[in-house]
Amino acid sequence: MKMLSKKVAELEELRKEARKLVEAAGLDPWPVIFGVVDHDQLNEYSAYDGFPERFPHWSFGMSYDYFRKRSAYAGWWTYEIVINTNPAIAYLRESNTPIENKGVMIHVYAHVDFFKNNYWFSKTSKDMIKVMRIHAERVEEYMERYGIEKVESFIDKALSLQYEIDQYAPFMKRAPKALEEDEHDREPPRIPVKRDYMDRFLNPPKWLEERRAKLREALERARQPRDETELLKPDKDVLGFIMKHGRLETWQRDILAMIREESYYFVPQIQTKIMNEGWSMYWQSRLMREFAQPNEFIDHADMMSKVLAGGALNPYALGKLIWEDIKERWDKGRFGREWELCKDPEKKRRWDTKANLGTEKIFEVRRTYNDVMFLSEFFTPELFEKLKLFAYEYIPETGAYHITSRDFEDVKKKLLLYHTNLGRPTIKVATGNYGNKGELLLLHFYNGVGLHLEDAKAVLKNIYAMWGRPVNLKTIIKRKVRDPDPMRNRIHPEHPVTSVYEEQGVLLRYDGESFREIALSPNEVKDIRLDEEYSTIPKEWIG
Amino acid sequence: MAKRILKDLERFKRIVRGEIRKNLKELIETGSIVGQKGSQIVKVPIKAIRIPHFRYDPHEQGGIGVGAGEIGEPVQIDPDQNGLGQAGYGPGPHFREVEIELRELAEILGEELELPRIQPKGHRHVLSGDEEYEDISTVGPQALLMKRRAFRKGLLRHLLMSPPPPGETVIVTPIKEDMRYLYGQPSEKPEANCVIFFMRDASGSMSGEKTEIIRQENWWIDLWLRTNYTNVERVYILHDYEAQEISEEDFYSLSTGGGTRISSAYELCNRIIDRRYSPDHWNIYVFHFSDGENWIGDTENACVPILQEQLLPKVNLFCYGQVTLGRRSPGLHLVKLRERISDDRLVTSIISDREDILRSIKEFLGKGR
Repeated sequence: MKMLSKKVAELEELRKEARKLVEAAGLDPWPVIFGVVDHDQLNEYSAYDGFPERFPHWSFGMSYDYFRKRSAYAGWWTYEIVINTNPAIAYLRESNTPIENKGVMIHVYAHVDFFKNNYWFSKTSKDMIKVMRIHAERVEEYMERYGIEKVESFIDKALSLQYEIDQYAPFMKRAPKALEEDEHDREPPRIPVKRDYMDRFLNPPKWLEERRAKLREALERARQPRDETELLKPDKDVLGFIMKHGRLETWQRDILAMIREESYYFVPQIQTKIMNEGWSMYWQSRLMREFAQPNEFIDHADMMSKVLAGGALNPYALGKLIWEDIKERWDKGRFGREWELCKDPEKKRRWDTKANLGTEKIFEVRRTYNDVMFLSEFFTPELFEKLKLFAYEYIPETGAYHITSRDFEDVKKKLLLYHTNLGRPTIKVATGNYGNKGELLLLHFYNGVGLHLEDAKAVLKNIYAMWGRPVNLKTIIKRKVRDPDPMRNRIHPEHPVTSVYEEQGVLLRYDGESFREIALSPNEVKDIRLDEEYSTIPKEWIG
Repeated sequence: MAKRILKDLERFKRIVRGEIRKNLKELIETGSIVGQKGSQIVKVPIKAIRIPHFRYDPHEQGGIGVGAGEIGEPVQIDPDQNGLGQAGYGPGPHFREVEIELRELAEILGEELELPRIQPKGHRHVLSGDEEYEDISTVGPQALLMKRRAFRKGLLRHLLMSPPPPGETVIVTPIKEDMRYLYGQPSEKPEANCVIFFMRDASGSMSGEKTEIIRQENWWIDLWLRTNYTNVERVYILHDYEAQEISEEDFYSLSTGGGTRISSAYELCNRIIDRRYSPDHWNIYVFHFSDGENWIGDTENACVPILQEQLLPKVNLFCYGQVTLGRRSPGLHLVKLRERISDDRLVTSIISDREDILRSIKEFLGKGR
């Protein structure tokens, strides 16, 4: 007991120190409750995405099994877990050394500062531990009432649509209804009168009232679709749409609602992974560098090198690098029109206006950006130069991935592809009354990168089970139109040559029994072809 | 009430077991598990245990890599594993394959084939080395040494004793106090020794697909036996007219052009048992594979007497598998053994293609000896 309280006192000492450091640096976190847990609990919480409890489902068991095996056989451990709540909760691994803990605590405080101050987290529930527990209890109740198998297999299907939500919806103020806005339009035209007293006779109030009512009706009709499942414009919240309009029992609707609520909670973490992890690594590194004792420094450096392994492809490392770059650039005044226009690399290298705006700038960026904005603005050609990155593509003719480009623009667009829309293809629901037969029509907004068709079909099957009527998906696939010249591959084996492909619109339809693929004309898929392109295959490799 | 996560884990395992059971025949026939490196975990490709999502075709998506390389050069990339792929997805890890511990796989094999547990001879109790690593300790075996940590401690000690001038390279030699080891809980289990003799005919007619079938079958047999025994040794004997003991690698790769005299292998096996593996201390298993061709008179005049007088009394099990690709009619060796010997310890089986492997394993191991 005495040992334990000594350890607690030690940790509390460290915590106070860490808190003082981060506050002095300008970070503004919520209070954090730290817990010390053993490796098994840490694996358990990792499996639950940080939470002590989640709704019962085998997929968490799968994650748990994965984390356990990694720590048992590969000597791989998590240092900490932190949950976005107020007060925030963080767990430390029991066997962390005091120095590791000091660094980890700074790391945690930086995450919590990010949760509290970044715009994209501003709409998440701050009471999520309770929400998760309530969800767990509710699903358990359903399992008792309807049977484990039945409920679990429904969750299997629902999770297929886990992230088919409208990630920006929490930030939109819906425009007020047009009807109220254009109040005066509802006034029927009057017969013009020269003298006021004539008005009463030429435009009798009763007649006016009748015409007003008719007009109102017509407007109402024009605004209202015939059916709630007909949408005026495609909706990204596929999960929400099926929750509202699918052929579901109440408990099933409730499960969809719970999954959807949890997804909206997790989305900002996916949207800001590079920034958020980078932010924590940045402060951990900066504060430990400034304040760690020499004997603490080795442990610290070692931990950093482990977490940051893998270079620019590791989100922790990439994020930290960009934050450091922003700090340096704004400290040295390397921004703005003059900097952009300067073409002399030697002058740019020595550029330093002593602007000293770095700290201010990084706090401003952490307040409003997400990863896509962060990468598009601050992943610069200068940064790219340092990183030795390349883009690669799959060439079916050789059955391998090949390096296709070391061009800044190419690498950057690939990087953005991996982060735009959570790195997923954009799917929207167009209508729930397709062909006036109550069928579901989904649109895949095609950006040149096709869907994994086998998975897409599996998802359609799952949706069918929830929708209860045939399900259609409009997409575009690539069709081979010409094989490459076989001689060329033999003469220049170092440059792979690939077939010529053409885009082909397709309606994928599942009616509960089988799939059909219906070819569509280019005109029919005009609405889903985005003006974007992500392929980096050099032109001379094609054909 | 049990912890929630344990219930989730239990259900996950039940699903995995169900899927493996459903696909066991396929897993064995395609040989997708055999040949994986690593001693404790195998990866089982199972499509069904995954929640499908709308996602990009990884082939069309391409990606970003880091490092040297000319444009056009092929790169080794697993798009589901690289850092970028992870950065793009939601919380929690993502899986294509299920990792399964070998002992779990063996259990499934046992349940599916209804293999009886083996009652080993020998009953010494020892602490076996079956452990999971859960922490770090200052003492331990060399194999579990955490080199990185040791060097770190060494570096720290070095710096505290005499800080080097800036810019100087520090050469660190860890001493005993610096060493850190992975630490795990040993468990007490009865120790039982087992030796497996794998023997096969290496004459020209036994190459290619036949060897591959033998390799597959041996892997599963080995898996089952090593989960039943703590200490397993293996002896590989290759024969044509003569027999010799060789390494596992050569066992599956060598072939010779000579004739076949099966008794040469049986004699060698018997000599090795007498010299190294006393039946009092060892559970002995012999698996012999050939295509059934043998030197005229060798089976009845040499093999049968050795088996009856020498080998069968010493072994737990003697299994003969006749690999006759496409030919159902058994060769003479098998027929003669069946005619002349009636002994529980002798099991024979015909394997005419990969689909027979599972049945053959069951015939061999179904006796629980």
